[in-house]
Amino acid sequence: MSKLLKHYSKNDKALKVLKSPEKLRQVLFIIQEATDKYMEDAKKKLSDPRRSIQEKAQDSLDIAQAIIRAEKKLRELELYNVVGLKSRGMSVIIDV
Amino acid sequence: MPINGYNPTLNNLLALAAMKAKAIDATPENEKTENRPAEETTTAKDTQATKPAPQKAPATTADIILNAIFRTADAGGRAGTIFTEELFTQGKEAAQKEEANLTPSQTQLVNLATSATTQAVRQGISIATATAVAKIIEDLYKNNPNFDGDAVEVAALVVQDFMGSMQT
Repeated sequence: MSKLLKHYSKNDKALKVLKSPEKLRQVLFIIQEATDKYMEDAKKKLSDPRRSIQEKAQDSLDIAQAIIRAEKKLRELELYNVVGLKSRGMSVIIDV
Repeated sequence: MPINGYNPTLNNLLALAAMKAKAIDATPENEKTENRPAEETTTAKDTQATKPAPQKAPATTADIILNAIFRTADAGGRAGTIFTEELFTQGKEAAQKEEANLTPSQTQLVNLATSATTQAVRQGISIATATAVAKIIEDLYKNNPNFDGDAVEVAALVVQDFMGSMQT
């Protein structure tokens, strides 16, 4: 079982979403946008002439980094789901 | 950090700690002020005699601050952790300034407490930030008809977990 699925094994709602290719894609889209938002935020802070604001850019970068880590795990899960569905002869419901 | 917790109990504790610390610091000054009129009417020798010998207070400012910190920590909560960090910084500075007044074990205690709190604060800030980021994500998408409500919730949850404790 994927690490992520194991982590949410007691959360029915999370499991349902993570196992559904369509819903998982939505989650990934949201997460990608969140990464962009925080990366943009970091960029904005870094371009500010004030040193105090520049120092805060690190916080935004840390957040973006954590979200990227989450995305990486979700991509792994996406692949895991695809392989799982294919092995069960259900590739018809996914477009890969 | 996007945390600006309001906690009346902690604010009261902080005010109390500040008052106590001020009282300790101000004690010799007050004594001097009280003695001033008397000094004017006495000889230089008398003045020297009436000058209070520098007394080492049984509790230093650092002790007072440390006590406040422990009580603040007991009050719990994220905001408490953040205020505790400020108090610890003050306590450490006070300990450094008044190193002569602190026994080695007291200095050790301050240093130990500072590093332990720094760790707790980092964790507290991390959790608070994770919650805030998750809330931002959820608020951005929850009313968007193109997104499934559960997917939005799970996206926020996954981000929160990765920023918080999970981080696998």
